[in-house]
Amino acid sequence: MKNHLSEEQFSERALGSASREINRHVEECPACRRQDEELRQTLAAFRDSIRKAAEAYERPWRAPEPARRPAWAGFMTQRWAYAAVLVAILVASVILLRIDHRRPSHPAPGVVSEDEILMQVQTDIGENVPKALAAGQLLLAGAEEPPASPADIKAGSKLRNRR
Amino acid sequence: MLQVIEGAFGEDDRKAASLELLKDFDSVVKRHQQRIYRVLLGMVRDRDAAETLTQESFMKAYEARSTYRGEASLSTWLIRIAINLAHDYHRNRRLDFWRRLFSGDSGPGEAAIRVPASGASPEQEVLATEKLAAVWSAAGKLSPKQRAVFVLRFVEEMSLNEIAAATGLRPGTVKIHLFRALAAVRKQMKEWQKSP
Repeated sequence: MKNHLSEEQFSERALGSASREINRHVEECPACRRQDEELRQTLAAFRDSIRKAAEAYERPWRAPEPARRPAWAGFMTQRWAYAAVLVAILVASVILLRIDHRRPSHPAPGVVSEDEILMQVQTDIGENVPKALAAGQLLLAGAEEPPASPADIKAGSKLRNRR
Repeated sequence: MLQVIEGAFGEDDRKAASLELLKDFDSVVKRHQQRIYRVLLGMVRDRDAAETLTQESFMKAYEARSTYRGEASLSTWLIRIAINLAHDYHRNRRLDFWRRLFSGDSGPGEAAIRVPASGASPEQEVLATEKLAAVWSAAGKLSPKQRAVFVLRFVEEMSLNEIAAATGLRPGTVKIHLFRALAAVRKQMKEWQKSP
């Protein structure tokens, strides 16, 4: 080896993984030997300074106490449970209301509502009442009496006589 | 892979380490605390921070002791915890820099590392202290990963495979980090020698 050691070769020396050739060069070359020695001393001084600083280091070990559950923790858990239930109820209510809202308020064409059927029945009943019961029906309904026809008056007197 | 790396760490060692962690954590701390402190001091370069992080490392290890499966030796496992904490510390310090910048606080100083007494003359001691300060300065300029492998290699004298197990890096990557760290240290030393 004619040239001086490279940066990598000095590192190999410091790590103790240099080849025989490198080691031989260090023995033969005073300049490289001086640099190699300089690096070794520097690293040794660094190591010794830390070791010296740590020599007196000794601290007693005290295991940490297991964390205690505070008294209010149970109450807080309960409160969270209540809050969750409340939120679930609210969400369910909103969903149900929205579903109900989507239903059509007017029946589809061709579908007759219950109220309309009831009106129809009442009208039919009104039309089909026999003439003999018309006066009674009027009495029951309490409606304004239409002007009585002679036939109605006759039928009414007949009813009274039967009683 | 870890079994291959740490071939010497057999089944019996693994069981013994697990049992010690669970039954006698006090002796684990006694046996490893200096080593963990050294690694952290080398990484964070602040005695108080290193001390706090050492305590925190053992606290973390205590909390996670039931998860130790023995893939690595106990020492390697503890060093890994310490390195992760040191990385977190560096991340927080980066944030601190901006906080300090706006608050005008200068922040914590670097470790006041003294040269071990060797019976040298006062001039030689001053020179050695300056040289050491230059190495520490060079170490301070390394990236956290480079600094970790540098400390594990040159302070703890761990092998490349052991460092790989402790840092989670590949042995080849560890070697690259070491080369770069050494080059940075050499560069710093040359600059220090040139300075009047």
